Amino acid sequence: MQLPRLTLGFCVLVAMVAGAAPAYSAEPVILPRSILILPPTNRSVEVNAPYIFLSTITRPLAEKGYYVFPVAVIDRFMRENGLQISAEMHAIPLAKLREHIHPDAVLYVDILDWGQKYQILTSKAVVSANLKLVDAHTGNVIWENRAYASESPNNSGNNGLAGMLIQAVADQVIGSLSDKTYELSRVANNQAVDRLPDGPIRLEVQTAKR
Amino acid sequence: MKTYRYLTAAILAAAFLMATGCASRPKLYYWGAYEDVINSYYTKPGSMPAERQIELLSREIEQANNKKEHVAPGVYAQLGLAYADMGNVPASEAAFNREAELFPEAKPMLDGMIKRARDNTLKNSKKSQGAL
Repeated sequence: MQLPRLTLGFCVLVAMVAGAAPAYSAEPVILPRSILILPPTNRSVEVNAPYIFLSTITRPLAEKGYYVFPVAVIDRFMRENGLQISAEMHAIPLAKLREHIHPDAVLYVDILDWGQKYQILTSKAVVSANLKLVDAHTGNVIWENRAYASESPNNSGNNGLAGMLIQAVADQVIGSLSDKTYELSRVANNQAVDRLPDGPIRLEVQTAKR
Repeated sequence: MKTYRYLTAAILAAAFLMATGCASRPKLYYWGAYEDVINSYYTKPGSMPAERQIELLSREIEQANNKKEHVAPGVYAQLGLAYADMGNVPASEAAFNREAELFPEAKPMLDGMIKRARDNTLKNSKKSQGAL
């Protein structure tokens, strides 16, 4: 069976797998108005992963209707206060964060996997992170989800082995690793955040019809 | 066979729509190059010095105003950070204050940034006075 040819000559098949179902706490939660995103911890070998993630998380959360503290300013704020490692930043007591930053909620992100996987016939890019939104006052987990996206080039279905090999080499030569994960990170974060309920700012706008 | 074709096409179309984040509802903000600025600032710092950030962010603020859209959260704050890195304290404070004006949620944190920047300038000027 041959894959149908799409009018798009070049088609990237983006496989998105929603991770664990979003976990809402049993009690009704008051939605946070502002979210502080701490620089993510990183289990991958890609040193830029936390920052690529950070650059693509503000937009979906803000468009949902939450105020997102400026990510690079927060990173600087932490460093100016002597914290260089994200694990240290994640260990700051909530009371301390409330005192200096005043967030309603804190998003803790743990990067699980990030980057290009080189396989024999093709290369595959993947981004994967755990997101945990915590109430800054109670410490309760408001919401938890996995952001995940992977991408491998589609060979239009009719290439022979030689074609596939050339394709694989071309992917590895042309494909800039960080650029691919930047786009994938955007896809993964949009998808992950899509499951959050609308935040106060979006609800206000809908009521006020500004 | 035909059913299979339509099914595959539908799945691919759905994946494409999801990938492009087809938000049918109105967006809240104008984003412009904000994400690109943050991304390059970290991953290719050489290509995104403070001057370039100021240039790009100022242009996006102008664009948002022209389009009568709301400047996205973080844009003025990043502008303030870039001005601070260039040593332009008044411009940095003005940008931080604008972010706090648009988003009062950020005011306590940004007031803290401004205060520390002032204290540092004071300390530095005292230091240089001492050296003289």
